[in-house]
Amino acid sequence: MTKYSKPSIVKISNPLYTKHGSGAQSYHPVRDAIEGVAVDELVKKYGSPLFVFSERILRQKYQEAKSSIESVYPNVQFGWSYKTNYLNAICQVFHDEGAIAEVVSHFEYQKARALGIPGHNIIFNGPYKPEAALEQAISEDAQIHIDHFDEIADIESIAKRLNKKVKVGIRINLNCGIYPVWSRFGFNLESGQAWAAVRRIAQSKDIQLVGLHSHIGTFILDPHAYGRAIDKISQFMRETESLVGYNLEFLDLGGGFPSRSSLKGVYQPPEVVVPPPQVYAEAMANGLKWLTTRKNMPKLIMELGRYLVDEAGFLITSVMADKLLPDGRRSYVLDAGVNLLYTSTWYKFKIEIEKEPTGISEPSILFGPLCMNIDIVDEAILLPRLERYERLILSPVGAYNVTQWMQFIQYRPAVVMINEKSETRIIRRAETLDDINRMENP
Amino acid sequence: MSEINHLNLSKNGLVFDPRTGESYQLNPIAQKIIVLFQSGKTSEQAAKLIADEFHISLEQAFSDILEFQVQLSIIGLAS
Repeated sequence: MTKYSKPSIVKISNPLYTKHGSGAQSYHPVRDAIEGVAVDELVKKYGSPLFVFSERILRQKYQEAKSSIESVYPNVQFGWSYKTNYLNAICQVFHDEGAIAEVVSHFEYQKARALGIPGHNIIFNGPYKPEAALEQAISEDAQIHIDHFDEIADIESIAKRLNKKVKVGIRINLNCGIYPVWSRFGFNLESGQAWAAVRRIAQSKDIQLVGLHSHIGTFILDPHAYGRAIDKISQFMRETESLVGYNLEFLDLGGGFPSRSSLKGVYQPPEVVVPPPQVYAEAMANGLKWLTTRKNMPKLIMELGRYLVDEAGFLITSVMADKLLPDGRRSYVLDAGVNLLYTSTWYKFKIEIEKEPTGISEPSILFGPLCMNIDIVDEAILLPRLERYERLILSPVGAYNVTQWMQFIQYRPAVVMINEKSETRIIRRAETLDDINRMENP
Repeated sequence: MSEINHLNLSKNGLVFDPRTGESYQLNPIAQKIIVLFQSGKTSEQAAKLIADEFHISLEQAFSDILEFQVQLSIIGLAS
């Protein structure tokens, strides 16, 4: 007997459709479990929406990236990019794997310290480092990467006060043939600004330059951009060492490796356009060779974020309503929207359904729960007719969403980690009214 | 909904509208509803039959049929 499903009608406008209608019986990916734990069990235990992280994938990604870079350069240190996802449990996994902390604000610095990371294992980046943050970082021997001339002055002033010579790196921005050029962070190479910074620090009694840092951008799909960047930085490093008269201790190439996510406007799937880390490593190999011949081989620091965490994150969301739009499109209201999916502006998530699809698929639009017109999770997706309370599993969502999510109208949901034995635990509980009200005075 | 009597409905769920030359694909429930409408049943009568056959509430069947009628109207198959 036919199982009931809501009536559906779809206009056949695609020439690939045949008289048998097979074209509309579109395949749709199904996922009924995450890391061996049933989606149904997760929702019944922790509610919906729900962020779910896989510890196995976190570790696998870290080890894969680390071994790739180490295959071309032996002295590698990873710094976990806190801003990508600074949930304590996520940071702990990467620290357990051997990463130090890479932070870009006083808040992140304090979070790393609260996790027990000593100052000398914290890289402090970013364009805004308040004096209190710099003072703490300097007194705790953190590795500060200077962003601008005012920061040089701030550090000198604090160093004098603390009677301390401060070892620093400088961040450099450069054109390595990709667009956009991230020119707002650090000192520009081509204009001579970076060289000016080196000369300025070289004459300082309070600061010693010990490393160079470059972060060319995000979701870099061209591995050779790193090779070109290394060529330029290497030349600059030689000139710097010639001026200061000693070898620098580290070269930090930042992050920017892409995850297997679909950037909007890129029409081929991530499996086609996103190179694996080994390809990036090979693109960097030639430029790094000269460093391996030196007596004191400098440390190569990588600050990968998105690549390490994005694919480990899933968001389970439930269909709360089914609505026909005036233009005939099917739409669904989900319990998760742009409030939880900040990156939906730039990325089109893989959307899996929990149950095997039946019946025909129709063009659909997925709305979030906000009373805001912009709250659209996917504006054009072919979906079988979904039932109320049916779950969708969105991925990859591990990067930036649980740091940039909003407490707007809705509470932020729980986050769960599944370990390598398929055991689950809450790593951040769902928010409550008390959490919000605690910060307010009537 | 006698205005949909002109639609040609095939057994595999395809509907052809000879007035416009357009074709549509239906799921099995939508097929049943079209057949019921073409046999002269009202929305209320069709809802009762669907509810009984599929063991769903009359309210749900009626809501779904009313929305389906709106969809038929939006895509130009019924006025």
